[in-house]
Amino acid sequence: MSFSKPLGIGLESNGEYMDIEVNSVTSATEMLKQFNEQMVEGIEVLEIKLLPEGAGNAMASVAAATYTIRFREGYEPSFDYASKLDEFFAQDEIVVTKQTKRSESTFDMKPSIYDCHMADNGKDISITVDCSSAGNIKPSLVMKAFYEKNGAQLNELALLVTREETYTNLGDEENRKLVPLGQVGDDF
Amino acid sequence: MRNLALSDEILLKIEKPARYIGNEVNSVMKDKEQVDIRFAMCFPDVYEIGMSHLGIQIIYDMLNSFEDTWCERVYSPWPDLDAIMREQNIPLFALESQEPLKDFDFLGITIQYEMCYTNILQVIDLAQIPLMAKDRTEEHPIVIGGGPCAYNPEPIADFFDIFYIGEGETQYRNLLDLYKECKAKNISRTEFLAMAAKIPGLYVPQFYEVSYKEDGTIASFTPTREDIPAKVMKEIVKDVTNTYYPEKPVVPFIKCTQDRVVLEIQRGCTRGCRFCQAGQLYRPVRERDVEMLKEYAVKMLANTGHEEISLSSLSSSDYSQLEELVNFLIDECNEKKINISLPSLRIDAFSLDVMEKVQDVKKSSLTFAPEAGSQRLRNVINKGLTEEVILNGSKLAFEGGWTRVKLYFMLGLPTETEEDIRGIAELSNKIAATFYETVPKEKRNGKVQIVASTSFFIPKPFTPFQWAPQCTKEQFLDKAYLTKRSIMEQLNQKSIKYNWHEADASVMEGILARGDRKVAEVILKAYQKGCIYDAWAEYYQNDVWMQTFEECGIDIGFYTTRERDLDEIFPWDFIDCGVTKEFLKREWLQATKEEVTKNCYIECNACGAARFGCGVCVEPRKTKEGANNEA
Ligand code: SF4
Ligand code: SF4
Repeated sequence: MSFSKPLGIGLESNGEYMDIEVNSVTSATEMLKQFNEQMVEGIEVLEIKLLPEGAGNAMASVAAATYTIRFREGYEPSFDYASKLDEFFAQDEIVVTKQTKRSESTFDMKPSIYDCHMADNGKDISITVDCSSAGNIKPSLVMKAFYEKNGAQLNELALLVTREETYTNLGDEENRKLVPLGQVGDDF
Repeated sequence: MRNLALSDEILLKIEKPARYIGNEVNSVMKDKEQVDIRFAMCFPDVYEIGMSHLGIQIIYDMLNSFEDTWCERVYSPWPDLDAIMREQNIPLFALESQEPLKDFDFLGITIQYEMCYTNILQVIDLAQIPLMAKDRTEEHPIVIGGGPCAYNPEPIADFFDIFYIGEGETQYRNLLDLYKECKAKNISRTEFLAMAAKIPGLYVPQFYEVSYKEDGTIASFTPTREDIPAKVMKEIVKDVTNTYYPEKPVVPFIKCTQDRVVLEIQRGCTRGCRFCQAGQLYRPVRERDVEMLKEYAVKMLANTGHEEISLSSLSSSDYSQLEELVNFLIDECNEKKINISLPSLRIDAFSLDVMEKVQDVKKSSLTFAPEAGSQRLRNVINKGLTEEVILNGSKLAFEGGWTRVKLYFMLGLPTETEEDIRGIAELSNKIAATFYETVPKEKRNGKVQIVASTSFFIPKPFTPFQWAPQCTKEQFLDKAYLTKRSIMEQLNQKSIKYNWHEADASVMEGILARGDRKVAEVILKAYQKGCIYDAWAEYYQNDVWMQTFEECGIDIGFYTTRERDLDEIFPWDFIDCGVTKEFLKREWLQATKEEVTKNCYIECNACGAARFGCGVCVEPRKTKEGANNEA
């Protein structure tokens, strides 16, 4: 059993994946039912796909994830974020500092943000970012840069983050073709 | 989704929030409108420790099997959350319903070690229940304590309404029925407690009065009401096969100390080591039927998804069906890729064979607990393990490829001399030498590693050594240095590693273990000064404790270094644990004569536990190999 990029503490998700290896399978519907009978409240298995024999560890191939970011009541940004978002994303580079245990380094996050727009409800923000093990971008880091660009300070508690989907990349570095992990396998 | 007692703001700020959210697989949810009794079961230490405790799981399962009762769990909040709860006045809550404990009917606390006493106060206090039993009203839950430390409840008697003495499976139903009846009839808290005091095994401290002699020892200990029994007899499960045992233990979300299925194969121990409290408290030894254990092993593994199973008991090698059980588990588990974690077994051909099958020989180690360095002192403590047995066992194991040996000793045992202490080093050296003699150079993969650990001897109630003086901190440390020096002098010293325990905490544990009601004041004050998590070296504040004893005018030597008179009335004498004081006295005198007493499998020594009419006392004596006197 292996998991794709584990979710951070306090985040919600509609798009988590795990690989499991079993001796035999029945049908996806049957197995879905069996799984959900064992799940605790708050965790539900949504779909099951069959990976071809020898597919290796599909979870290692995670490339990107889409997050919805909401603001906790009473913690909404002080600036008009809905109108500022496009401007933020349109920048040529978005330089942030990254704190590690030992050092502080700066890097350009822009190439790792694949999409960033206001959700249909006009209130939430939707972002799609690099989620690979080499270049994972935390949604809060994007928001921190967004706040700072607008002269505000982010309190991480303000964010209610939901991971909506996790993708693998079927294209290459240049021409990304992001496909939800769940579309990789077959129905059975 | 359930509402959580703690807001996201708090949960995101503290360490391991999963400690406080409940909702684990197999945790029991009930409709609170459909039950009569709300019971909160507490282990007063952090979640990962408390969740690993089998006793609580048994009681949780039993209470929830009663339709009218909902038993939930609660553990000590870690200091980070403790501070937030105090600051924001958040009442301590149960994990399942997330509702405040103060609205429950019962708060049960299992008391497994003395160093958790301030955590008990922490839990009661955070629950916003008055700390002193006498200050509680009809509005408050009944606070009930159980577990091994309830066998000397006196230092914490002021904080409890009831103590349950003995094994939990037997009297809870009666207590709950009485409670329901009293509630229906509007009977007061005090009268309910007076009636509860007559249920076998239950001790209600407020109905007993203690008077002291001038020297501070007890003059009398008597009930304040005529109809309340002067002696409280321990409760015991006579048939450990047909009784409560959890088929679906709760599976934690985070890694716990004991992250596996635990099968308790038997209760009690026949060996009678004279320092050992558990060996006396749980007499007589009672085995569970092997078929029951097999059935539970399969069910529990299926219901939890755990990948490891372990056997638990005081002395597993004595279990008569061990071979059959272990072979069954090996077959079952191999197929499902489940690990078996073995208890420490007497080293012989059988155990080595089993160990080889279930663990990695290179990584695992052999364990011996000779407890004392010389045969003379081992006779004093009645530990039958001989040097010959240890060396033979090691030789067998070295031939089988093992290279690590762990040895456990105690320092500060009654009658101990420097000679005995040097014996620890010499024995460790001989084991190392056995390795070099047994394993030819070309076959050695690395050096032999001997790890000798010493703990400090703490006299405990209901043991033959309850009369013995305990060492001072300085004496303890001198002994540890002597052990270290002696090891350094050995030829094979490079193969021997030595660890010793904290001396401060051992002295403190000794005070609490044989304390009386006068100690309660100190515990309360120390808690009020901020002492919690005393069992955790990083939180233990010895200076605060020592200063508090001084402030309260209490001489710690009275509880530790003082030699007790043979006829002294001990604070715990009102409890009848089955084993009689006469027997313990006999054993204490035997000890001073360096004479051993045979274990129950060989002969009965009329310890008193035969009154329960079960287990080894009534079964035919075994003639199997394990029935010799070695431990
Ligand atoms: S073998 Fe000795 S130390 Fe171990 S449980 Fe039995 S009596 Fe106690
Ligand atoms: S009565 Fe005899 S057999 Fe029973 S526990 Fe005591 S010594 Fe052992």
